[in-house]
Amino acid sequence: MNKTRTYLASFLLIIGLWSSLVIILIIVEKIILKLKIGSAGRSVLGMALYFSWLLIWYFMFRHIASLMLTKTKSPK
Amino acid sequence: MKESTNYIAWLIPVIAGFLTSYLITPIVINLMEKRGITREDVHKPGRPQVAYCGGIAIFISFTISLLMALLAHPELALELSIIWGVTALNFLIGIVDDIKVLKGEVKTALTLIPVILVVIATFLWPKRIVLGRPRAPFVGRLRLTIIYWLLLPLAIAGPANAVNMLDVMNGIMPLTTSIALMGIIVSSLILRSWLGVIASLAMLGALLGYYPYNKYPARILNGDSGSLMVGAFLGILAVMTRQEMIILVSLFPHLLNAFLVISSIKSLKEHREIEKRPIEIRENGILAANRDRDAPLSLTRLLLLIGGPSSEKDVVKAYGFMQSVSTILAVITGWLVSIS
Repeated sequence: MNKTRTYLASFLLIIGLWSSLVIILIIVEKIILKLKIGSAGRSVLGMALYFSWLLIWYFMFRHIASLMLTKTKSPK
Repeated sequence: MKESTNYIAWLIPVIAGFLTSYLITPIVINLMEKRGITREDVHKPGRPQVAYCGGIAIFISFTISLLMALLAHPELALELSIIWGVTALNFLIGIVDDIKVLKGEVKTALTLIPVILVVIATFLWPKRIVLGRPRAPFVGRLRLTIIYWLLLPLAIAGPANAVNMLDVMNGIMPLTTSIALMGIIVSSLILRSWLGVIASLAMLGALLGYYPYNKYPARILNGDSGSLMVGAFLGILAVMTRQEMIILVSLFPHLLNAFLVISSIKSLKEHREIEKRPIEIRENGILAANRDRDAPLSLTRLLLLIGGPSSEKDVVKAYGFMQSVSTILAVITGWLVSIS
């Protein structure tokens, strides 16, 4: 195992997850939930944003996995 | 609530838990081996049979540890009893699964039930058991009202199953959850949540005493009785101490793994039921990512794809590192929450 690569990637993944989660929380609480639309509309918009956050991360992980499968040689 | 700042008394549960666990685990190992309750350690060459149901040792030690905490802090009796109750129910579900092997969907559904205990307690003692509106950095209390109650069953079932799903190699479960608990203790101190400190110390003691027997090469495997129980404990702790955000961050590796597995296999199947494995084991015990594009994506597979083939011990170390980063971020989250 290339430890530097693994540890650096783990570090960046966790930091990325945390910072994006905090940003999403701020956007939802400070912007979306203050919009002058109905309560249901705000809830749907907020939930949609959280869901999009999950979806973006999922596709990012899939992309990383697919990239690694393509770039690295099959182990002997 | 009366402040429980008797620092010496805080040490009682952790010492009691550690000693009980350290002394009782060899007894459980012998008992399980004699009764033939063993499982294959699938990541070792030759797949040796190893004693199973390590959760029994953790549960007994945690119970004794919590009883000690209760004696030292009688003012927290109600809260500690609820935490114990939810943890015990998940332990029972785990034991049934260890013996009878439940289907993934059934097990997940069963872990949704223990939350009833919390809901009942909220209605019976509304002034002491206050739930809802979790605290988050920069924004203070989140405006989650109805949605919070809808998500509440997942607050316990989620961590329970996530910790269970990452319990794939020797020592990962007690190692990662112990590191997470250390962070929770620090953030509980920052937020002056004495319940968080005392309950975390009780479980930490039990896990630290158990870890030497579960670390590589394991003499006992946790079983679902261990991993479901510890995960559920973290969930109920988050709810009861209102540290949902902090514990969510400290469980990032577990939640990330669960999210990847569930979204790639698109169901709640047990790992035994999955046809294509995310990782392959070579004859010399080296683990490698399965290169089949249709194989499920787990965090271990992702790590092995990034870093290349590795020994089980090195994968566990990588998880320990990842958990440490999450724990530091959880403490930062706790500090940010305290100033928001």
